[in-house]
Amino acid sequence: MSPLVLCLAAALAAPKVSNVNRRVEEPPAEPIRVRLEVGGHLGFPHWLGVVARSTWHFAEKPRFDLDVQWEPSNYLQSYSVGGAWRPLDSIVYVGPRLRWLQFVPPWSRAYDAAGSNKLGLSAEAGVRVPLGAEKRAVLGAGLFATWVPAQPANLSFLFGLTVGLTYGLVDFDVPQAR
Amino acid sequence: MRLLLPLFIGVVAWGCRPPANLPKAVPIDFASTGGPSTFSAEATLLERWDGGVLERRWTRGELGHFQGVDGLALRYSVHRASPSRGAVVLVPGRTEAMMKWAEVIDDLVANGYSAYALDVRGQGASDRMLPNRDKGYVRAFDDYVTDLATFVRTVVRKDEPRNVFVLAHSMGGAIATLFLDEHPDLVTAVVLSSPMLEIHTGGFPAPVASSLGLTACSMGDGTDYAIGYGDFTEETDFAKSSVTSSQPRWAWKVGLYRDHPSIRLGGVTWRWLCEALNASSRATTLGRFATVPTLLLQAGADTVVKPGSQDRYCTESPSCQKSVFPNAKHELLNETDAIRNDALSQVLKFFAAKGNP
Repeated sequence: MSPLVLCLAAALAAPKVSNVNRRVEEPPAEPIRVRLEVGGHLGFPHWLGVVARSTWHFAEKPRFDLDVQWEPSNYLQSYSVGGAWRPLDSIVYVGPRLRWLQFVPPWSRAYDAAGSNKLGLSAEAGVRVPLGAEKRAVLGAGLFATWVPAQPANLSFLFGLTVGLTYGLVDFDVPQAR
Repeated sequence: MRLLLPLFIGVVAWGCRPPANLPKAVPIDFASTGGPSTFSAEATLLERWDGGVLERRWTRGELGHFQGVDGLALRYSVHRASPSRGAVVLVPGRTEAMMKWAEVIDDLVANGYSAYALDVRGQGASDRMLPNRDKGYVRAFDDYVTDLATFVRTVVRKDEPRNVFVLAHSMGGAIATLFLDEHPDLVTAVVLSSPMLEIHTGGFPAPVASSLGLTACSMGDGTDYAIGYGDFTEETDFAKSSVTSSQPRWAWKVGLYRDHPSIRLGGVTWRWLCEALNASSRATTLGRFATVPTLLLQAGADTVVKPGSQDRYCTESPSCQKSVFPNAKHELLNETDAIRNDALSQVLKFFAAKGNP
C-alpha cells in the first residue's frame, strides 16, 4: 500500500471529535446592531417626505437599510418601502424602492381611484453621512429614477432627488446566526 | 408568493377592467369611397370673413350657454343643417375659441351636418377660473369631461338623438377619449384630430419636464404660469408657426384674436400641465376598452403632441382606424387646402359610413 493511500485512510479514520473541538474554539458571532431612525427630507418631485428607517450594522458599520416613506403633497403622493445596500460598509448606498404613487391625492376633486393610483419602482443612489460623536444624526442625499409601468407617455419615468436628515432613536441587537 | 406578487402588481398597475372583446373593425378605404372633396378655400378665406359670407353664416349660429361644473357658464353655438344627417360636436384644442372653427363649421353645414361648437371652461367666451383671464388653468381635467357630457346630454341629443358625432382636436381629443370611455352610449362615432395623448415637451426631456411640473403642482395650487409661459402675445411670424403651414389661415387666426381680445388665452399654468399630463397618460391606456368607431387623424410633422401614444391607442382599440398625413402640422383642419381637404373629406366619409340611416 502506498504511503499516499495510507495517509488518506488515516485522515478519514480520524475521530470526528477534533472538528467539534475546533468549532467550540471559535469566538461567538457578533450580533447585528439595528438602529431605528426617524426623519424627513425635501426634494423633487416629492417635495416633502417623512421616513422611518432601520439601519443594520455589522461590526459597527452600517451595511443595509430598510425604510418606509410617506411623501405627502397637494398633488403627487408616494407611499414606499425601500431597501439599500452600503458597498464596503461605506456612506454610499444603492437600492430599490417600491412606490405606491397617487398622481392626485384622494382629497382633491381631480382624484380618480381607478386612474390616480399607480405602482412605481425606483432605483436610488446616494450618501448617508453620520454626524456628531454618537453618529445618531444622519444627513442623506440621493438621486433616483422611478419607472411607472402603468403610466405611459410623459409620466412613465420620473427623476428626482432628496436631501434629508434622520435621527437614531433606538438601538437593539439581533443575534447573528452562523 | 412567486405567483402572487406579480399578480398583485399586475392587478394594481393595469386595473381589473376587461378589454373590449371585439374584433378589429375593417378600416374604410377612403381613396375608393365616394364623398365630398372640395371645401372652403384658403385663398379666399380672409375676404369671405371680413363682412363676407363666412362671417355672416357664423353670426347666424344660435348662441347659448349651459352650466358646467362649479356653476361656470359655458358658451356654445349651434349651426343647423336642414335636412341634417346628424350633429357634429366640436371639442376644441387648448387656446381655441369656437369662432376659430367657423370655417370647419361652414363646411360641415354645407355637407348636411349640424355643428355644435363649444367653448370649454377657461377658454373662448366661457367663464374663466382665475382673475388673470390669460392663464390656461383647469382644476381637474375631468371637469372638461363632465362639462362635455352635460353639453351632449342637455343640448345636442335633445336636437339630434339619432346621430351624434364628435370631432375633437388636440386637447379636445384627450377630453373626447375620456368622455367616450365614460359615455360610449352617447356618441355614434368620433374623429380625433392630432389628439393630445402625449405632450411634446420641447427642449426638456419628458421625465425632467414631468418631474418639474409635478413638483410645482405639489408645492402650491398650480396657478402660476409654467416655465416658459406667460400672458397672451400676438403671433407675428408665420414662419415660426408650429401648428399650420397655411399662411392665410394663420393670418385669419391672428386677426380673430386681435379683433376679439376677450376670447384670447395665454400660456399654461402648472396645474393645467399636471392635469393634462395625467389625463393624456390615462387616455392613452383606454384604447383597449374603446367600442365607439374612431378615426384618428395623425399629423406627420406635429411638434405639439407626439405620435407614439396615438399609435398605441389606435392599435389597442378594436374600433380605431388611423390615418396619417405625413407633411401636416398640428392643426390638420387649419392646414393648407391640400391637407385640409383630404382630412375633412375623410372625416365626412367616416361619419357617413358609421352614422345610422
